[in-house]
Amino acid sequence: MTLQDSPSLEDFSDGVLSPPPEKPNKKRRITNIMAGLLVLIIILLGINFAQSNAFSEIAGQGKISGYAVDESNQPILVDIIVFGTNIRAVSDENGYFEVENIPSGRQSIIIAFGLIATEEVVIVEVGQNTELGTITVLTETEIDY
Amino acid sequence: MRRKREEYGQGFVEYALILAGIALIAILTLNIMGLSVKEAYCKVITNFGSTACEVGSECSFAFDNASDLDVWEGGDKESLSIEDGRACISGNGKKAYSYLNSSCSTSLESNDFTISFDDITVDRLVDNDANTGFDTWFRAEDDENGYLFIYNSNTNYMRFWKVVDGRWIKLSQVKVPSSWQNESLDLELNIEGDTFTAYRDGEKILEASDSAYTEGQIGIRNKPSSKSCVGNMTVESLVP
Repeated sequence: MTLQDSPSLEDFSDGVLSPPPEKPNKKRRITNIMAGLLVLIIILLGINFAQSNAFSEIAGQGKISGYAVDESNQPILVDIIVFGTNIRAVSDENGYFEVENIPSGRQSIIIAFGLIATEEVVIVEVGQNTELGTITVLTETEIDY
Repeated sequence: MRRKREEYGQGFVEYALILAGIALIAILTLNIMGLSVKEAYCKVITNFGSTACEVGSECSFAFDNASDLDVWEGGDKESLSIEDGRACISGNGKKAYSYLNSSCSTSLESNDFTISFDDITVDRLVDNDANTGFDTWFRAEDDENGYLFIYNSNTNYMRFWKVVDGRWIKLSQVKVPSSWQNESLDLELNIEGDTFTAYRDGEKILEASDSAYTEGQIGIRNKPSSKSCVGNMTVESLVP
């Protein structure tokens, strides 16, 4: 715009300049698309996280407890392994074991006497102690080393 | 003074952000569906006729020469050898040797497969109380985690085991005739989903079911006091 074409003060005697023209629709559409994508990404990230082990740990943990005995009903020392995690524990001289901080949900608990093991599948509930009761571990099982 | 003209169109950065967003959404969606980007990509380009993603439907080992042993890792290398066109593992009476093959299972198009062995023989090599027999690893992370199908020629049992951190959990077992100790065995293991079935000469021997391990290596294993040999081994993908 040249100086000659520019507005004079008289042009504004009735008020201030009208607001600048709005951005073209195309620009706004792009912004909306980006906002939509962002929302979708956040939702999908949420679903992904909800499926992860980290979520089940954050969502809640529970514990399990029980007694391990041999075929003669005598308490035995066993190793406890929570399958798919790094959680390990051992029973005491009474065969009693208690394992805390187990992610909630369906868990496979391996109860091992030496190299022989039995498996218990349990549902661990948040903040609850899941009692496995007395578990007989077959200590005389023939193994194929 | 001349004012810079304001540009209302979207810039390169905005287009790049949109593209990145769409890519991220696609990856996340595939992830939720349990598919990898590679799998999806391969499905698409295979439908367009490309062979770039083709994977083998089988891997086989004739055990005719020493190079057939290059892909088998573990155990004691000197205990694994080729003898008369067969792979043989010799025990020392103390330790079972496992040999895993990571390249075979990853080259197959499916985690469901059939493992076939021809001409398995097991001879007692060391005269002691230790077990003799030939075993097979499948869906194994290593030699302490995975599934084992065992033939114990000492006790005449075949068993499926699940091994977790070196701890053995028995899945199923069957007593087999003691005469098998002196026979050449053709065995087939059908690994499909969470069901595992063993056959001898096409006849079903044993079945087990478990879903803990869904993928992993295959392997062979010899018990401490035996010398186990196998003529041919084939792993064939089961395509749904």
